[in-house]
Amino acid sequence: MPRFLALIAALALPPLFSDQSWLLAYFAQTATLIVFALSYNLLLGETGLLSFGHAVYSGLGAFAAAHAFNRFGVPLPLLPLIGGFVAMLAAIVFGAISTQRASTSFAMITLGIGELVAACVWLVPGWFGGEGGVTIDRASGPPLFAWTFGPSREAYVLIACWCVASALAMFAFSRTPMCRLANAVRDNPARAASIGFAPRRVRFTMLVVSAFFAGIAGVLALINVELVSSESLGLARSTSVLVATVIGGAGTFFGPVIGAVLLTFFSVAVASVSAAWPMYLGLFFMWVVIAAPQGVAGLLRRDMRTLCIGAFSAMVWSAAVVVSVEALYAGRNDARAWLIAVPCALLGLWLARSTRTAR
Amino acid sequence: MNAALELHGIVKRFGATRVLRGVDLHVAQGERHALIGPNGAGKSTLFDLISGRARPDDGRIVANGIDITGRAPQRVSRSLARSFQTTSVFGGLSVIDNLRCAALGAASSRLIDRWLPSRRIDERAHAMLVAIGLASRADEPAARLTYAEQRALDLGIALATDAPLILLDEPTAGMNRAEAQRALALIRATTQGRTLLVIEHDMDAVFDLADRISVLVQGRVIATDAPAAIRANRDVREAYLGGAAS
Repeated sequence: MPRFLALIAALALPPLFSDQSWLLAYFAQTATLIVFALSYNLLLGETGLLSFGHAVYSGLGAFAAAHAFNRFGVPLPLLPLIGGFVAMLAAIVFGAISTQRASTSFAMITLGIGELVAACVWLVPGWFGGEGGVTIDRASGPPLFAWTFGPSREAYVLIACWCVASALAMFAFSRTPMCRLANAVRDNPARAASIGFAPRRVRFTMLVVSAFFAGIAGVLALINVELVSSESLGLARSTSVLVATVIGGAGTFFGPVIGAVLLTFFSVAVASVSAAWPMYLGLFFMWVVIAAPQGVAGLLRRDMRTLCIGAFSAMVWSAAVVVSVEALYAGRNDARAWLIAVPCALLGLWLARSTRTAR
Repeated sequence: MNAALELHGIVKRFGATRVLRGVDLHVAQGERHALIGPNGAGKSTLFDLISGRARPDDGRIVANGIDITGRAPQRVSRSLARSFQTTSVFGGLSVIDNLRCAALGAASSRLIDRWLPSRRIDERAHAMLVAIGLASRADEPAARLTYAEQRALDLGIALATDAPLILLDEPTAGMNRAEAQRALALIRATTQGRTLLVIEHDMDAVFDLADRISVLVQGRVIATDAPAAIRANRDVREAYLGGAAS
């Protein structure tokens, strides 16, 4: 519960202190990715399913919501529900195929479905809007009391509320016996079958629930940028939610929240100061996978001493990486850069060794 | 009254090898039946066929009057529950959640119990937790239990499904003598009122436990009788006990 209060507080602060639309858009993007990553973790963490096609559900939900808004004038606050239900329908169709298998086969099938749906954007330009995508004017819908949702602050409040509601709903869902059965199927499918639960059906149920929340996330993105396009359901979007979930840690409920915050930080804040941000993200992702397989959430549970040394060594490593990457990126072989980077890297190595012996 | 389990002429081939060559077996209601035999006799294969993990090439399997031949594991779980030769628990779940999941699989559980926490399921899981002697480890992840504790939990999972017929595959494998004694005592205490079919490699282990023993050698049941008679049986001694002694 204190973590939920922290999440709510963090989401509530920006509109109170600032009316800068870029800041609100940044926080809205974070909130969207939080919902998306939490929904992804229902598959990865709870059911042990690695999906490369999760954006299919968020994307299709967003496209359907955009059309529902433009053609039928569905009120904006209810739009995420439309997205959720359409994503669920999509999951019922695609899940019937993909959940037949687990592990690598499941991952391959989702990859195939992802490519298939992404190709449809170009095959059915009428519905998907082709290259331009489908746009909405969020102020054009019926206003709720005095709110038209045109100003970014009003849209942000809507997104933040849906983010908190979805997170709470997924938290409640993660406590249900159904979710324990998903864990059982993840840990030992043969055993789960022998106590009466067909692994395929449990995976299918989890996928449908997960897709519902993914659809909501897709619509939140739509409300934020007023656009849904081929990118919204492409492989890049699917991988970014995978990266966010793994960075944050798939083993705990709040791991993906941390991952979503970090990924948005990389892709927006770091990207605004350095064009080499994907490189930093990639290195960070690799470091998490190798050194902290439990994700950042897992790191935070270690003892204080290890945490302090770890934080210091992370700073040293970051300095070494940033200096050398930026020097390389600028195309200059500057001796001064190496004078900073090499000692930092050596110090980092020494720290890593000393923490290992201390453990 | 129907027999708890009947096997008629079960045949299983792996490629050209006939692992089971016409197995007939009859387990009465409430009986504790042991299936013994040397390594490679086909005991575990037979369990896989009964519990639906594999299909027999020929023959019929009838549990409590219902033909379950070739049914998938999740479709026979109401008739029978099994433990595995290699310990098989849900490692990431707590001990109590392992048992809750098994209780959810019972015929008496309702669909709503899968979506909302239920007092009835909790009570049944807790009763089983106490019965298998793991009450102090309820919230521990199952992967962190000791080997003997995991075996006890494995048994508990099978029992918590409330199936009338329990299949146990070498429940004392890998245990020292004292642990094995405790495990057998636990099995005896917890399977009251159910039908038990136990695979055992070591005949001494089941001598006290079983009402009847069947001996499986080279894919055939060569004898079924009371333990004392099995010990005295000349064919059994030659095929199995004699072989083990030499």
